[in-house]
Amino acid sequence: MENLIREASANTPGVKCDFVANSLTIEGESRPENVRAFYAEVFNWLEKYNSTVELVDGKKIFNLNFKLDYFNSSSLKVFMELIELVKKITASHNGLQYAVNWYYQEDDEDILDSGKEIEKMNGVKMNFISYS
Amino acid sequence: MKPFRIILLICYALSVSAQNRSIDSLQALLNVSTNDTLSCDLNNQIAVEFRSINSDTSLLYAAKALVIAKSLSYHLGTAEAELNMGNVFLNTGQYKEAQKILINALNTFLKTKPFPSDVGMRVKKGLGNTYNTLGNVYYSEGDYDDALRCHENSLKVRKLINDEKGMAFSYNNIALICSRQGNYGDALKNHFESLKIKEKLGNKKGAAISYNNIGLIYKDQSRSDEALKNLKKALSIAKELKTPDVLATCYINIASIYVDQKRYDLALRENNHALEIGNEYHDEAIRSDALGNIGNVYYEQGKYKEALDKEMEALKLKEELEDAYGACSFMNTISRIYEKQGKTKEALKYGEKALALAFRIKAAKQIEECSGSLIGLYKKTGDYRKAYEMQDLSISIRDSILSSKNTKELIKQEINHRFQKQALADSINYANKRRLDDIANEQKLKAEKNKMIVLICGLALSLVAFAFIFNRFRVAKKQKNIIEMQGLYLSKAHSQLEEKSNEIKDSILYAKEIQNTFLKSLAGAQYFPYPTTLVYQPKDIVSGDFYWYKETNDTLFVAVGDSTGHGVPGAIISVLAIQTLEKLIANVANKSELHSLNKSMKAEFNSYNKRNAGVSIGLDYSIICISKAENKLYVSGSGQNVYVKMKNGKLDENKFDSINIGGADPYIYMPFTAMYSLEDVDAVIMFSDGIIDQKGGPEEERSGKKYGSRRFRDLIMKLNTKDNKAAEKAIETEIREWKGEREQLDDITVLALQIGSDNLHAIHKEKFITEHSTIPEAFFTLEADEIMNQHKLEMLLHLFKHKLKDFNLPMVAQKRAYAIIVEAMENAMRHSSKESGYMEIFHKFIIGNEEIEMFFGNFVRSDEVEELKKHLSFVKEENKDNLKKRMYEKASDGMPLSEKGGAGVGIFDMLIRSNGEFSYKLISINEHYYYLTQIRISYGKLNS
Repeated sequence: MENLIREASANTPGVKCDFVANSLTIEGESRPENVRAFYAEVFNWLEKYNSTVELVDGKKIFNLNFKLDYFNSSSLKVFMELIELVKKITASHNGLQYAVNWYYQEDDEDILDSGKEIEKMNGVKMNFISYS
Repeated sequence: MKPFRIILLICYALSVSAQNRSIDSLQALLNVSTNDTLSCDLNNQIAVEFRSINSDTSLLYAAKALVIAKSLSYHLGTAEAELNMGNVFLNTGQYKEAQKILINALNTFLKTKPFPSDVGMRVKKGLGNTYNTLGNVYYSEGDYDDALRCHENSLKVRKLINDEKGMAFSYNNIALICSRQGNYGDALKNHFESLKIKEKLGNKKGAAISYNNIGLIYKDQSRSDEALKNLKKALSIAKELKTPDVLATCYINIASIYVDQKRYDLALRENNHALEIGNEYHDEAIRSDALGNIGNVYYEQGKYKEALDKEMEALKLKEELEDAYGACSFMNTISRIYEKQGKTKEALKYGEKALALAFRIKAAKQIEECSGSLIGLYKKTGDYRKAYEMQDLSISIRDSILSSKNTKELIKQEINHRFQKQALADSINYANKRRLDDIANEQKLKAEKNKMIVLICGLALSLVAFAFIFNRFRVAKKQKNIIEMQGLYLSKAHSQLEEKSNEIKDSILYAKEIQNTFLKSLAGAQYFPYPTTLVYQPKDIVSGDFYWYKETNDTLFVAVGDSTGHGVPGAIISVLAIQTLEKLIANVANKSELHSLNKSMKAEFNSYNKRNAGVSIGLDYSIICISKAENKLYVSGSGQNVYVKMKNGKLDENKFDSINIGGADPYIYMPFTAMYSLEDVDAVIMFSDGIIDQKGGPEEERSGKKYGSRRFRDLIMKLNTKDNKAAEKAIETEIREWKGEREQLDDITVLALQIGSDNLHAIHKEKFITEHSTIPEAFFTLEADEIMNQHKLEMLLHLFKHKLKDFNLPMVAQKRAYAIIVEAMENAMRHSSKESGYMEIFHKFIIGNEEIEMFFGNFVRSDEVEELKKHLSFVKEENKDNLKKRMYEKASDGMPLSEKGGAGVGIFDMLIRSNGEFSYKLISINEHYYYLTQIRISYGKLNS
């Protein structure tokens, strides 16, 4: 299965979907002109991942990484859905687990805060990781 | 016995061929008409066309119109159908039915809103015609008092709308009744008025009828030559026109003169002409009159048997036609014939019947004739008491008919008519000129009066001064230096006088300041800052005119008023009027019944007047109401016109009848409230009559011409409603140039609201920013109103990001401002309507020492506004934690993004980031709303 890699632009984040590393990373600024269209291929990739993933040694962790400077409210909605989908996929494969990693710049309280709110709302334990 | 004649009431000017053409095209229209009110109107129009051709067909179409109108609750159509049916009933002699349905028609017309102006015209025209027809019904039934009242009402309404043709009919009909009642002076006066109009309009048939009727009055006055002259004139016109009814009438009436002159052969010849016409056209009315008159000629010749045959036949026809007046005449003739034949009993029977009928229809002439014949009959039977009573009756009636007053009036009218006719020939503008002269005279009188007042005031002041000087003089006499003292006191008196005069002037100037505090132009409006053109020119320092407004965030009332009088008294009333409006406006529950204000205003002012019989305070005014919620403009008033300039270029003139606030009830008053959809309206123009009545024009015309409605209308149409200040200048220049060196006659007020102004949102925007911006000194300001796209947004964000960095602002503030701009701009872009072209988005960013202020403005479609309002009312109420909760709930509700890509939570996001420092305003503009927001980031509140 192929990886999906999109370079960041002024209003779209960098996207890296890695089949081998079992990870999905969204990084930068997320405010695409058309949010739904932009993230459609990410959802497609996840669907494909769902149907191809095989467990080799019985245990695997899928990492969902968010490392954002800014995202708009439409993107927020999409992120919620992404987390839900990852939750569903891992639940349907025995031995597959997931982790949501929320990166934030040291002094960016707003990004940290919105991550916390997402955690509260989704009922998912998230890892909050600061960087400078 | 005076021979009988018929008199015509109504005439239709259309020729038959023209009618047929018109009917054909109307029917063609009716066949393709899918619009219900239109097909009702068409049915009514066809009914009118058939009125004089075929009664049954006319009734059929009118009934069809009535059914359609009733099913649509279409008042105007109902009233017109009722009128048409009433006309048919009158023509077919069904008087009771006619009376009933015409009274219905009157009521229906009176409850029809006379709006817009073309409907108003139709209502008034219909009202005039209904009164006229009803008058004819009463007349036909012999009820002259009610008939007269109806025709006078008809005349008043027709004068209101300057319906000259109708006025001519009304004058004619009034004259007929006056003549029947023996009031020949008024009869002749009204006939001449009627004739004057008919000749001016070139209505030949009408003129023939007038000449005929005038001839008859001379006949009743026993002036055969004058009578014959007028009747022959009528006949020659009737021959030219070939209209059977007029022609027959002329023959019969000329015959009656020949009888008076004892030229019986000639009389028989003329009456036979009439009978031929009656036979040819199967017209029973003409036949009965001709027969009756032939009988009469036989009577005069002593051929009693032949006479009785003819009279009996004629009487039978009259009774079938339910023509009381005619029947009465013939009964009386029959009585006389029996008397000659020695059959006293029969003679008495018919004589008494005739007299009773004459009393019932209150016909003076008939009473005189019947009572005259009965005297002899009673004497013959030995009943001297009754004979005496009859004598008494006969003499008193004759006296009243031939009273000196009547005769004098008659001569006066005759002279008047000759004079007026000459004047008419000299100038077709005769009537206008006379009116102008009247006004000029009135002005002269007024000027004289003013001069008198000045003189008296001057005299009084001189007396005061004199008394003062004299007193001082006496004191000073004791002293030696009289001359010196005199000079001293004189100059002192002078200076005191000057002081007094200055005091009065100061006092009036101060009164003006006070009045100004009551005058409210829209410049101070919070919610409705429409560009306003206001021209306010008092005749004196203070004014009887006023303007006023009152607003809530949804509703705006604006009024312009004109108090009775000007100067100080006018100003006092204007203040009272404003206070009364303030008080009473709250009682207007239903804005579409804005005219209900008229009644309460009137009640209030009439109660003021009751307190002091010596004053008469009142006003004319107009009022408008704009309701944002209903998206409507309502217009009403009393005694003023309000022009509404539509976006399609039409000018709608709303003429509001005066309810006579502060005075007696008006004769006719049709209150209404005009209603418009706001998006159709360009401007609404309210004005007092000062500009209309201002005299001016070319210098060589000494007294000047009235500016007039036509010129004002043209001025309004030319006015640049996009630019209120330019419009103001244009009106002021127009007034100045028109007036020239002449005096201003009255207070002038013109107030135009540019409701449809395209830059309305810009005005709101400026106001909003002024109200909300608090940054004393800005580091940086960026402002634009432009069509946004993603590319422009990127550039804007790039620039703003760098600026924020340049000023070294707190990082959180920078990030939040950035986030807010993104959300606000994305929202605005989503809602800017491509379809309507309202795509401009306004933004203004101000970076200050303590805070960042961001303003946004964009149009929102009215179907989206409810959703927005819901959000706004929620976010205004909730605290930050609840907002957060709501935002994340909504983001995780699993619903797809909106069609335009929004999650519907942007507004929460902005508010959370700004710590609730947010203001907004939603303004209804045309079919859209303009949504203005201000969001502030205060550096001091970043961590709260």
